[in-house]
Amino acid sequence: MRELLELIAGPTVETLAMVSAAALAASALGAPVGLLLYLIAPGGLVERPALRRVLDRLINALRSFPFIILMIMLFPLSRLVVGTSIGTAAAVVPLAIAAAPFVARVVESSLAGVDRGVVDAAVAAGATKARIAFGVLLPEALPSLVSGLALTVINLIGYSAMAGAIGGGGLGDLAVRYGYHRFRLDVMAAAVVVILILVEGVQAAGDRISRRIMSMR
Amino acid sequence: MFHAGRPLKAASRDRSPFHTESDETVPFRSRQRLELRSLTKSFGGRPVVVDASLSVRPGSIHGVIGRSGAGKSTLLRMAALLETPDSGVALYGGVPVTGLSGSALLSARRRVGVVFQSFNLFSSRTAAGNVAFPLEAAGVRRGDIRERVVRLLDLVGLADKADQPVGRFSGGEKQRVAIARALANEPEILLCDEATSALDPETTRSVLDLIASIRDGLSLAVLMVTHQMEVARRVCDEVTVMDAGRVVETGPARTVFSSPSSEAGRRLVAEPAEAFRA
Repeated sequence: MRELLELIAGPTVETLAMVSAAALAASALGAPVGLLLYLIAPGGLVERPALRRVLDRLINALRSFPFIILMIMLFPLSRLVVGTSIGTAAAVVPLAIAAAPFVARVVESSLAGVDRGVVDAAVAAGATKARIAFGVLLPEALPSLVSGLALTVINLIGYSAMAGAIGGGGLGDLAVRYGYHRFRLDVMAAAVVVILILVEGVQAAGDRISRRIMSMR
Repeated sequence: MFHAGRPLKAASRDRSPFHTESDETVPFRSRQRLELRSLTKSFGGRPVVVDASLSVRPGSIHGVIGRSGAGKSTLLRMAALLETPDSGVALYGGVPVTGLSGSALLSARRRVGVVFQSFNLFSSRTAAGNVAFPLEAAGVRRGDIRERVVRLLDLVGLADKADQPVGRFSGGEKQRVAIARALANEPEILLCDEATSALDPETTRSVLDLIASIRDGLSLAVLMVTHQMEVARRVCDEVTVMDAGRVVETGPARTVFSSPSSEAGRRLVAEPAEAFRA
């Protein structure tokens, strides 16, 4: 049992670090794109139908890529950004790029859920588009954004396990090395249980924060 | 039950209710006329408003009545600069404001307060935060904002609920916050789009009394779109009847309700009162 705990502790930390860094990077890349998608949509504050179509297709193309193929394709980029294509740090690059389009869609749909009348009220008050976006739209959409972020992190935990299978480190790597190559089913089961706990924990935290924000309104 | 808020007349005939100690000489920008000239708007090739004109005197409430789909709300949205007309022009205080862009458009929008049917409050903000929003948008100093917000919420009888989230308010309270927010930038013109349609009869009366006291106290030009005849009867000084996107009749409320000259007006006046039916 002690050996199992020792075996699982390091990869768990690696997974947490990998997922956290990827979630942050994916949010930094995807959230502005999501906001832009909302603003330039037909009927939006800054309608740009042609740009919207291009972004739409780009996001759909990125989202339709199987992650494992995307990761292999992005080995050169990982090498360029973090100096290696193997390990936890290297896995953050494809993870972030795979999750960014998802974040963009989450942000776009969260903003689309904001009552159009609320936007009208802000426009009628003579607010600038930037103030409407950051002072009204994002705060109004916050509960939905938090739920979306939780969903992103959960997806990333799944992706990170896949990344582990091709040298990404973390729990996926542990499960493959011990469970698959050495027939240590107990280690594989333990890795799966930890992943389950992480997913449950993130989902519960997301729900709780989202509910808390709603209850304060 | 709601009270009508602080009486306005005595306090505001001579000086703005937004008066502050540090702002002694700034008058309330009132006594401006709203004019809509030959406004026309189509959506997807379907005409919604056709050649509609009306004029709202300062210190009066001008009702726009008509059935659903008559083009009333679109007319109001063009007056509020939320929609651009295909042709025609809106004038605030005699100055054309249609077709503006950039900071001129933002400034023009700040000269008008808009009250919506479904309140359209910011659920992420408290009552005070909602009222503060137009002031923040106008770049008012933070120190002045709080003082003005308290005065405005006092005006609508909600000063004691300033720091409460608006999600927990009743419909009448929400509409009062919306009215305070609409008045935040000391508008010359107040536009009310079915402002009482989502309220019960008693709250409707109370909100109408508040709007009437604002008209009297601040000499605003108030344009009130409604499909509730009793609402128009109760507070409007003048009434415009719209039918199929066109203005078919305009005149003093008493005349329109006692002897409507248009077929649409006669139909509307004959409708049973619903707004105040308990």
